[in-house]
Amino acid sequence: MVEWIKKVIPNVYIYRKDFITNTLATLEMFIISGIIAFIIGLFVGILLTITKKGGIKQNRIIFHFLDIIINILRSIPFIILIIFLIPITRKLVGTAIGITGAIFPLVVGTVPFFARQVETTLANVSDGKLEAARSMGCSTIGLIFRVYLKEAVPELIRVTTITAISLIGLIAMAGAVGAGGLGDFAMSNGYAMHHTDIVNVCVIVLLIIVCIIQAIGSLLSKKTVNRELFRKKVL
Amino acid sequence: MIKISNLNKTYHLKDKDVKAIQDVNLSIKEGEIFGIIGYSGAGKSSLIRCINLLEKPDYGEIIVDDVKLCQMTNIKGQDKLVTLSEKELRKTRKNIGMIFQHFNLLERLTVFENIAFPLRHTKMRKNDINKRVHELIDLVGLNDKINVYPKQLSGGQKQRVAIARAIASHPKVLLSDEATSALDPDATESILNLLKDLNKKLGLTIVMITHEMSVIKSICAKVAVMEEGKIVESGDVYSIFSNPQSDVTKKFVASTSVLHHVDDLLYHSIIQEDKNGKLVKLIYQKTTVKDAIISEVSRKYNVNVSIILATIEILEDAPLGGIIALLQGNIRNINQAILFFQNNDVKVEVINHGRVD
Repeated sequence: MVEWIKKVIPNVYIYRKDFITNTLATLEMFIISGIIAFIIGLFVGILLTITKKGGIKQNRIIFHFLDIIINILRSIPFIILIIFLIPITRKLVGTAIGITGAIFPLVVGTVPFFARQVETTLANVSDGKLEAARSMGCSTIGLIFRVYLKEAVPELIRVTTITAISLIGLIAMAGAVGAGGLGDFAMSNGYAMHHTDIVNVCVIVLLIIVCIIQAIGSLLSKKTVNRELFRKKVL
Repeated sequence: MIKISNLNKTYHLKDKDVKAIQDVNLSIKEGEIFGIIGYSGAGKSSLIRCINLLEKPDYGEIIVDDVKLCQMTNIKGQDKLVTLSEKELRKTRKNIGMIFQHFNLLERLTVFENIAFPLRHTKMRKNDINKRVHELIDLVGLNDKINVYPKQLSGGQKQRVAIARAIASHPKVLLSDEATSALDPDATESILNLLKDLNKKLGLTIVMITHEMSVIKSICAKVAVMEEGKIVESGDVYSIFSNPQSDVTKKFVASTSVLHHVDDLLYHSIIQEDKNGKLVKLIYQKTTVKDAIISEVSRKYNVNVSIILATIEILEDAPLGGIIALLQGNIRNINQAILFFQNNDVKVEVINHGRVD
C-alpha cells in the first residue's frame, strides 16, 4: 500500500504531515467560521424578514441599513475582501494570518450570502400562516420561532448546505493569503513547486468534503419535511 | 357581543386611496351566526380582520365581549385611534378564534400539534393540553387522523383541524373568512353543519364572511350586505332576502334562485311578451305561501295565468316563494289582478324586455 502511494503520489507522501495538518486546518476553519456565520447569518436573515415592508415588525431604517451593507459586502470579490479587511482583522484578533486571522474575513464573506438565503427562505412561509398564528395570540418571538423557523426547517437546511459548500471554496481562497489549509497547500506545495499530484489530491479531498456536506444536507432536509427525525407519536 | 361603530379604513396605494371600510356600524348579539356578504373588493375581509385587529382601522370603535379593542380618544384636540396594548391584544385574541379560506395550518405539525399550537407556551399543563386536544379532535370528528400531517388531509378535513385549532382556547367568538370558498359542495355542507353545531353546543358567536349566497342561506340568522366598503343593507336573513332593496342584494338573491332563468327564456325567445299579457315576478312570503291566490286571481279577474318558473326556499325555517308567470287577458283585468296580488302581501315586479320596470 505504502509502496503504491509512493509510486502514484510521491510528493503527497513526502509532505504527508503537512497534508494532514492542512486538511485538519481546513476542517477547523470550516467548523469555527461556519458556526459563527450560521448564527449571525440566521439572525440577520430573520431581522431582514421581520423588518421589511409588510413584515411583522416593519422598520425601514434597520432594513435599509442591513440591506445596503449586505449588498456592498456581496459585491466585493472575496479575495479582495480579505485584503481589505486585514487592518480590521489585526485590530480584532491580533493577527491577519493563520487560522485565527482567516476566521473573521470568512465570517464576513459568508454572512451576507447566508442572510440573503435565509431571507428568501423565510419569505416562502405564507402570510396566511403568520396571520393565523397572530389570530391565536402568538407573540413576535412566537411567530419567529414557532412559525417562521419551524415551518422553514427543511429549506433552511438546504440553504445552509449551499452556504457550507461555498464556504469550503472561500477557505481555499483564504489559503492564498497565508491562512493555511488545503488551498494554501495546493498553491505553495503543489502549484508553485510543480507537484501536480499534490494539486490533484487536494482537489479530490475537497471534493469528498463537499460531497459529504451535500449528502448530510440532503438527508436532513428530506427527513425534516415531515419531522420524521423528531417525531413523537401521540396515542 | 360585538359592537362596531363608525369604522373607517383607507388603504393608501401609490396612485390612489382605496376606502376599504366606510362608516361601518354593526352590532352582533351573543350566540348569533352573522353573515357578511359582498363581492370581492367590497371590504368584507378588511372588516373581519379589524374585529381582532389583524388590520388596524383608521377610525372607529370595536368592542368584543365587553373589551374595547380600539377607540377614538381626543389627544390635543385631535381624534386619535387608541388600541389595546400588544399584550392585552394577544390575550383578547385568545377569545376570538379565526378560520381562513386556505386553512393556514402549519405543514410541519401533525393534526394533534396543530390543534395544540394555541395552547402551548401558555400556563396550561401538558396533560391538560393533551386532554383538551383529544376533546377537540372528538368534536370535529377526526379521531383517526391524529398523527397525520395536513398534506395528507382533504380540504374539508383541513378546515376541521383549523376549526378545532381556532376554538382550542374556548373563544366566545369565531371569525370565518371565506372558510368554505375553497371547498367542494359536500365539504362545504359538512363544514357549515359543524359550525352550526358548535354554535348550538357552545353558544359560539360566529361571524361569516362570504360571497356565496348559499352559505348565508344555510346557516346565518342575520346578514349584512357590503358594497364598496359600506354596509348597504342589514337585518335578519329572511326579511333582507324576501325584500331586497339594493341592487347588490337583488343580484345575490337572484344568484341562487331559479327565477333568473327567465332571462334566458326571454333571450332565446322561448317565451315572448305581447300586448295582451304581462310577465310578472311574484314573491310571496310565509303568510301567503299556502293560499291559493293564483287560482283565485284567475277566476276573479278572468286572467289566464301560466306559470313559467316557480321556486320555494326555506330561510330560517320559514318558506319564501317566487313565481314567474305570464298574465294574459284584458289589460285592465291584468292591472286589477296585480293590485289584488299586492293587497294580499304578494310582491309583484313586472318584467319588461327582461328588465323589471
